[in-house]
Amino acid sequence: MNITVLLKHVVDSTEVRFDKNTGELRLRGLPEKISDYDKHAIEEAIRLKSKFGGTVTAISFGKKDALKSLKEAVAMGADNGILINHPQVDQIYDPYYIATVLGKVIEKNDNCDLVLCGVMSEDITNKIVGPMIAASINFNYIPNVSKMSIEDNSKFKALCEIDEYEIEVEASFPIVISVSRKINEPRLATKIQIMKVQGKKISTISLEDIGMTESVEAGSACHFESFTPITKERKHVIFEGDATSAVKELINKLEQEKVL
Amino acid sequence: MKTIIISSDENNLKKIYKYAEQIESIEHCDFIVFNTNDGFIKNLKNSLVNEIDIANVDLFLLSDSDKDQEIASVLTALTNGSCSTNCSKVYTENNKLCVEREVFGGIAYLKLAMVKMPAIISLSSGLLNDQAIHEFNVQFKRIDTKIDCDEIKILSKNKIKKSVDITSAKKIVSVGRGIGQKERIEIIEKLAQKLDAEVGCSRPISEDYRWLPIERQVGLTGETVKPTLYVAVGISGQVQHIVGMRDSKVVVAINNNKSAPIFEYCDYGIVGDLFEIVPILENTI
Repeated sequence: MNITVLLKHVVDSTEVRFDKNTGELRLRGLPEKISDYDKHAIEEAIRLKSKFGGTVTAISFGKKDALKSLKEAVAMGADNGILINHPQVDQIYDPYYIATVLGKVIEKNDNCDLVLCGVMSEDITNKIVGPMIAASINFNYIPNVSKMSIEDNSKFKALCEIDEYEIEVEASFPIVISVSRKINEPRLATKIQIMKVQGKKISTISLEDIGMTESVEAGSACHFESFTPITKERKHVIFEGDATSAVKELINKLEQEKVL
Repeated sequence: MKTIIISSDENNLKKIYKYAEQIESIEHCDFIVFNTNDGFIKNLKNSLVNEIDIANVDLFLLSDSDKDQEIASVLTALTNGSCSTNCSKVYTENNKLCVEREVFGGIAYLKLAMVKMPAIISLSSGLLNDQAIHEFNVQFKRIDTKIDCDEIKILSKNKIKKSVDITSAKKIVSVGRGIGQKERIEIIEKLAQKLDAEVGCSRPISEDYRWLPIERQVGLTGETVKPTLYVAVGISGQVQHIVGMRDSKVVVAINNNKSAPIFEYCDYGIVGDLFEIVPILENTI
């Protein structure tokens, strides 16, 4: 069983803010991590491996910084990692380009039976790279899987949610699966475990290595124009102090608003 | 722009059409209901190739349902066009087709220009839910997916029953980590009852502690709600939560931490101990 798990190295979305002085979206100098959704895919890959045998390869399309996330995946239990290095990956918003790159590396890694990924990345939330990889390398695809077990080396069963239906399927490999966050509780790798991961377990390749070019134009079918803040005007009337009078004032306001 | 509106769901098709009427550059539009018949991506691909003339199309519009995302994937792979998903706005600017979509947990809109034709765009469910389906008197084509391989067999299929649908609630009282213990949620339920409101919650309550069912979760990974009154109790106000309740008419926050982000997103707030305030509120209303 050859399992490939895909992970995205992201900035922590909860820390992203617009800079009050420049008005620019500040994405540098923030904590970075493995996208939450992908962590469940890594965990599932490791569990499947320990139960049914095989190897787990973690792949990330990212900058050098993503090496840290790949090391974390190995510390969690993946056998090795591959970074497809692209210094300007942050400027690529074309999901099909990303899927094509990942698909080529999956194809190059012989005999991949199972590709696992999160339902979406937590930063851009395209929610489509999984099915796009399947479409580009002619694999089948099952979304939102919350439970899976391997029957033998060619077949498995999975429980998934598709558009308000819970569906149980039996399917054959090779296949791409996106996992739901319900599927498991990802284990934690400690800082020391991550530090101890041997460098030789992670290989770095370039787009040239898979016959593609590194120019940003190549990945700009969707051209970045701007980030703008999503704002909603609120009144911000805050009551403090004595609870009884604060509640009275609040109810007063809510009556004026006619929402009670 | 020659456009095809295509969806696996007829209702979604009508909603997409309703929104598409606002996109000025659409000149000619075809409508396709693509019955996926429980087919998976390889089946969809074969049927799309055989049944639809995808040449010379400038724009495909879809919904962001799971099946439509798969159709969008296949269309992009077949046409090598540009794809963007979950869009909340589609418009033409300086002869460029542009989209806007929420990113980074809903703090920003990302604006993209679709430079490679055709553009394959899926519209966010938030946007589509705002479209009232009006009279729909255009002809649409129906395509049935042929299930021509047995790589995936369906063993069972059940409609997911939701015990509650908070997306249609007029009032919601939501509870967060500040409640501390499962037993204490009772005070929130009492307040909700008094207000004739539904109980909602933030992610830790449903996903981490499992004190409330997932269908009550408000936020990025839960439901998006738009009640007239939203009361957030003991919720700090992470962006992921805010995204799910941002469009509420009036937002009230009760939290003991004066610097909790929730106060940036509320109309009225009380700084204080929720175990003191909630019962008083319940008794005073």
